[in-house]
Amino acid sequence: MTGIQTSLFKSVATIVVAGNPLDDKYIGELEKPLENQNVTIVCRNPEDLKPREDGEICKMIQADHLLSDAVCFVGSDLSEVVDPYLDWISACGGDFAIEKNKPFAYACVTHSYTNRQQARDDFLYACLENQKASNMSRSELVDDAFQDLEILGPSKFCELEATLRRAANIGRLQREAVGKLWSPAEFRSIRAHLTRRTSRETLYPFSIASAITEEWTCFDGGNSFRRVLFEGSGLKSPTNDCILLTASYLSHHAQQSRHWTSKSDEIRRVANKKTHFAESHFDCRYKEAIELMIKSTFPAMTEKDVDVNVSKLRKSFRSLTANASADSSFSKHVARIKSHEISVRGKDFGYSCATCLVNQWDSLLPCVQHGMCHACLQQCKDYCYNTCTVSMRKCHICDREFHEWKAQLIPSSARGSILALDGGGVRGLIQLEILSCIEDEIGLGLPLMRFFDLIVGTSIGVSQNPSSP
Amino acid sequence: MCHKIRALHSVTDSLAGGIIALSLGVNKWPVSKCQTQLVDLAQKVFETPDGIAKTLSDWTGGWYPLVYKAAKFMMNSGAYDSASLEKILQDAFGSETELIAPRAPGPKVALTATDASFPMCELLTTYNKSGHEAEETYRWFGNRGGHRIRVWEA
Repeated sequence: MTGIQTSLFKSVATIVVAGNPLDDKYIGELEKPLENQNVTIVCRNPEDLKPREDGEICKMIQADHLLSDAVCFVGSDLSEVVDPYLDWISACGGDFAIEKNKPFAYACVTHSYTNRQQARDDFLYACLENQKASNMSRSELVDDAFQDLEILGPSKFCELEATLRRAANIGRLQREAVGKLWSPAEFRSIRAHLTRRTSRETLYPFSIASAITEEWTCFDGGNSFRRVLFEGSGLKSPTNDCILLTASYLSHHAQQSRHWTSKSDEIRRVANKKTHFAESHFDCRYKEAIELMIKSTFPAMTEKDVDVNVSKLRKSFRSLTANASADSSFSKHVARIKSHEISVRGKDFGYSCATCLVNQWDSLLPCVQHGMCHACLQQCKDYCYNTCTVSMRKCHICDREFHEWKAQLIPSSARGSILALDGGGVRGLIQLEILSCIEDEIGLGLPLMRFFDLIVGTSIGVSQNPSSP
Repeated sequence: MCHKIRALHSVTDSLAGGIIALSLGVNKWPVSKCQTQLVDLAQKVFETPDGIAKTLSDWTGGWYPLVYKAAKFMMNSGAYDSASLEKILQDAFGSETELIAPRAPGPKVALTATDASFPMCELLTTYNKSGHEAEETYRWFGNRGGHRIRVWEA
């Protein structure tokens, strides 16, 4: 029941299911990322919250706490969620909770309460009675780890999904109001904390934490940006097209981690006449790397000219970010690429996703020159066959049209099935015979390969040096 | 033509997994077709000794085939004729089909390989592995230096 989903998201909700009020199938439905893009739901097991024998707290839970908008404790009644609630506070409360980024807590139970305030009081009283809260005061029970606590009592559990999404969106809005600009140092510290592996804990490589805290130059050292947007023009400085496109790619990247941006900051800026949030965001996250990139691509450029170009980029970034919403930013970004396609046409995107230039591509488009990552494919699709199969009719970089091109999106929480095939010459017939038997045993009449995500085989390989003819 | 597979002798020991993986994952052949194709390949590549060879083998107490193969290995960089294997693989997978190419949804395929000029295991894949963490135990063979690997070469 532990899984994690990432997508371009607006809100994140973590749910902890106590007792057994829901079957695993329903939990799996909740975790589906593709149909419900507004809220990402992460499911955790109450066992994950308990301290380990070596005294280590599950770092995944701490990451969830930092990066979630809402934490929902689900159970049949309030007494069932007391233990996981207190375990969560002990794992993530106190020093670990960052003042402005505490999530909202919700206790979701099947029982419907007419007086929610009374239910909240009863719940806190039950917590105080518990030995795990021996040294805690009533206010600490809520304030130590969370912004606030609310009791939700959906009359039917089939309404749970809607309740969770509503809770996450409310939490997101409320957190936006207090906002916080994370610095790269803070993100690095979170990542360092999360990736310090213990013997018992292995982190998912593409967890919510890594998606949100991802540094811009983490992939390919920013080389893809330099190669596609700046190099090859033969000019002595970047063109206005290059500047706008770079700003567009950066704003697309910025949208992926909501902690970096906040609409409410625009309101604060007008009121206080302070630096725009988006500009601070740019300075904090992209400025240094962009300066280096421009200097290395145009070595003859003076410091003053570099500053002018960075300033132009900063201004473009601000206007694009301030007016973008998570819903429309992607389509606007794609439209901008199309309108400035002359700047990117024929450029070598290498292994980078042509749409975001940050991730590596997962599917190579039939134009062969451009590939797209799953996150961009998910948003750029022309047609969706089911939750995991999408199709595109046209490459939006080179405009080449395709016929019936499909791509498979694999949720990051999906556990892969791997078929490993050993060598052995004609002895390979034995493993083929075994595969044939497995196929018969399954008895669905489907090719065996439908059940595997990756096939690994022993090969003799290419012993020729690639540089030789 | 420069033969890609030089040490064909070791093909007998290790190539089967790669061929089966590519047949199932890239060509999307059913298991039954893989079986017939593998038998066919073995018959064509591993030539059976003719009458004279058998007689010579009997006269030399079984040493003739070993000496013959050693001599052939020295001359051809392989104990068997690599050209015939190349031809079969090109017929099966297409002479120009590239390993990393747009494909219909299906399983990914990865192949372990060795490069005589580099002391590390190579990994050939049908998918983009450039974003994965670098491992010290192997290196990924993408389109290195602009050289695009074809399926039959893998």
